[in-house]
Amino acid sequence: MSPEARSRTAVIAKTLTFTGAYAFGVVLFHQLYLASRVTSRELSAAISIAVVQCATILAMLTFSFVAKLIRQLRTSRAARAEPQIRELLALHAAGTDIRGRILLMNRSGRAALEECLVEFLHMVRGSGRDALSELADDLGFVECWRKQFRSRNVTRRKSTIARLALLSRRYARKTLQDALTDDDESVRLHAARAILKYCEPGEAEKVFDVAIHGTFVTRMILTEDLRPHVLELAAEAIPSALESGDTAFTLAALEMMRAWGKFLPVRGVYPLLRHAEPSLRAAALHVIPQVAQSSGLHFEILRALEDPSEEVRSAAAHAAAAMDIRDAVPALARQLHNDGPKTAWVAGRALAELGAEGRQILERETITGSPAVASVALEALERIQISRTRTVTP
Amino acid sequence: MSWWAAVESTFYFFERTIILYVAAINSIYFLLMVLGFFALRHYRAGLRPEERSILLNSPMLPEVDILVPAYNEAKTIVESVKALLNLHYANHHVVVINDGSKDETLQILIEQFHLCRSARRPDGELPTRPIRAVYRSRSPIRLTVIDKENGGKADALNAGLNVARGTLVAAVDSDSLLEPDALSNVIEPFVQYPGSVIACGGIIRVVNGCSVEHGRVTRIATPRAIIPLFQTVEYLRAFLGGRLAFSFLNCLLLISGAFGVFRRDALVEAGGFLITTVGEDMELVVRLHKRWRTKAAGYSIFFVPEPVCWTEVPESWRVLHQQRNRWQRGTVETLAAHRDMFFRPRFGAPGLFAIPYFAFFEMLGPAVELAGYLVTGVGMALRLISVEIAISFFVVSILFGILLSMSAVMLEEFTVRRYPSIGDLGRLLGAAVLENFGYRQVLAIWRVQGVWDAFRGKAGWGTMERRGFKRRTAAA
Repeated sequence: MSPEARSRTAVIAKTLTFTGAYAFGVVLFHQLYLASRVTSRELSAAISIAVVQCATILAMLTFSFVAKLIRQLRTSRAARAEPQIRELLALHAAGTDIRGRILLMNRSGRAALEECLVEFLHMVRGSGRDALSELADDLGFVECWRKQFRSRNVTRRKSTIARLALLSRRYARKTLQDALTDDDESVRLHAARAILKYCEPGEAEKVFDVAIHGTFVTRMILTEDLRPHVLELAAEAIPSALESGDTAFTLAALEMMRAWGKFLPVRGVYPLLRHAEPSLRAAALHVIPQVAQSSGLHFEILRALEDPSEEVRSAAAHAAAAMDIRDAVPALARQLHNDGPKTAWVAGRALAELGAEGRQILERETITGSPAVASVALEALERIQISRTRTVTP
Repeated sequence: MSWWAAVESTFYFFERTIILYVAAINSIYFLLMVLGFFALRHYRAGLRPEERSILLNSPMLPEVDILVPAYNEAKTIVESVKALLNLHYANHHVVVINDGSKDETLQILIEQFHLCRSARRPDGELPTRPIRAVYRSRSPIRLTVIDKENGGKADALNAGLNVARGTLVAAVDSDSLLEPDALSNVIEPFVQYPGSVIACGGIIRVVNGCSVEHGRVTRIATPRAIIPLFQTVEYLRAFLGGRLAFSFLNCLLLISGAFGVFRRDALVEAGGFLITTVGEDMELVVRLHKRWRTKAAGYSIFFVPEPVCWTEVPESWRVLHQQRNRWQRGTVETLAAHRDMFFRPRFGAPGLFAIPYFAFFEMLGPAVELAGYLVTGVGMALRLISVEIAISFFVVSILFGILLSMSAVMLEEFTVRRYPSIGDLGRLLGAAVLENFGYRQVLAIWRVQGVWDAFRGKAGWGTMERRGFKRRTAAA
């Protein structure tokens, strides 16, 4: 059962349990109390339901107010103790040995100390972080967090990962790496992000693996986190994904490359231009301007402009404009007439960007083309004019 | 058996049936609310704020065209468009459709946003009333304005769809304000389950009583006036209870016209918005269900409680009457148009549960409730029913109503907690009680009237009097 299905089942189970308990309460109240006092069964049942619901609302109200009160008490208690704890932690992070006083504080307000420690770990780097990590280990917090990671509760595992991620790597490396293979995708995501904070050689590749095997959301988030490690990934991880033969992983890798928008010296993109799957051909065309160019590439783009798939032709028009392939002008002019509105619009934009020859064609189309083509041509010219005006205007 | 005894037993039978019906409707509401509560908690365990903020700035986000139909919205249009342009989303474009406004709407837009006439033509093929011109901004803002002949909201949205080029389109009312993160939050299901989600709606909240500055709600408070306050409770009940539960069961039938996001290709494939109904938002969602169930393709229609769209609700009885009449007519028209889905297993949860629920409870509920008051009153006057039976009826109808509304308010307090002050909570709880004495009965009469009007074929929207958001700032 997938985590999503498990979680949906849990929601339904909770609903049924709550409703069952509610119905049981109604029956109990009706049978044990009201039935003997109210002669009409309808009235007795109706009042039982109303009373139980009133009791539920009252319980919720009480719970809400008590919870608010407890939160308030905790906040005020923490407000009293935390300044002192913070001061001690700051001194400890700066290198002063005041372990004894901190241990004393640990006995009286462990929860507040843990919160302050986490807060400090967020802020300090270098030797300060090492000192505080060691302190967390001495105080038993690290062991406690490692134990919490074995919890069946996903939220607890996630928050544990977030805490372990703050420590110096030697205290958390193994747990974080184990978390990359967790059952729950959100835990894997948290661990991957934690690892990337202080990434060691080879770890970015593992995170890249999590990204291409994950959902689109995971990929979107990790794509941004992996941005600083792109060159390292270009050496081995990305080509392996591109050559994996698995369409989904290859598409995922191409998506990420496109999002990075950086020049990447990777192998494995060119063969995809002739892949049987149109979506892969199109995705490869979108990233082709970002990879090292080789002889024969222009020919491949021109070939793609005549591809049977409209998605591929549209991507080829993008590529032709980005790579300034002037030989593509006749094919793009044909796209204006023969393709659907979206591709024609892309072709129009490409023509507008491909110098005087492309713009002359567009100008001609505004006069001689059909109303739809003329409109696309005019719009493309209008766009380039507006973008020029924006560049010139201070 | 004498004729009087026959009348007595008929009355007794009617009264008991009505009590059973009202108890059933309230029990279903309650069950939906409990499911909504747990579904809400399940939803809130999603992404962390910093992950959301990464998503927001990702170049992989799908492009969204926000379609804003506007008809005589000169008072609010600038604030609305500014708010939409400033949404926290990396890849969106605002398309305002001036639906033949008779006031200054178009002129104000041209002046405020430095628009110039564009050569752009609609790419799509959905039939619409003629388009007079397309305008685009000379400034580097992503705004397009379509000026067209009046054809109604659905027609305006179809014109916008013809111009839109993004993967997703959001339909937003021009008199509504979106929270800065609303769009990114509502997009989340589309990126979480790419390909399978075809539509997603967000929660609508009442802006009356709040302070608004520069198109953003800066202080949240409950309305002072009683009519909007009652509607605030109604909105909480409808969105936090009903819609969340329906969405969880993938049988959500209504994505509010004030704010909904759709996959553009799905909308075009379904034929766009239907112009012959006043309930185009509900009709579209039902049609999407029908089409995707017929294709036997996996799909989901989501409701997410986080994105908040603030809307101005009627403050006068007259406008409220028109609005509720229109909503009821929309429901009846939609159910009538898709009656072939009733209890048909091939249409899954929408056909087996949601549509019958809307027909038996949302459409017929008010009539049964009014019949209940009538039968109880007459029965009591003529001593045809016992006092206990009469009390039972009032307990199940009035007391249950109060408790349901109070549960909705508590649900809000337990989960989303948007209203910060204790005073607001008190006012909402007070309104949850008071709305059951008079307000609810008036609405029931209007809704019955709406059903009657729908069967008579009445058309038209009525008017909504706007105070405008600027005045709200001044009033705050």
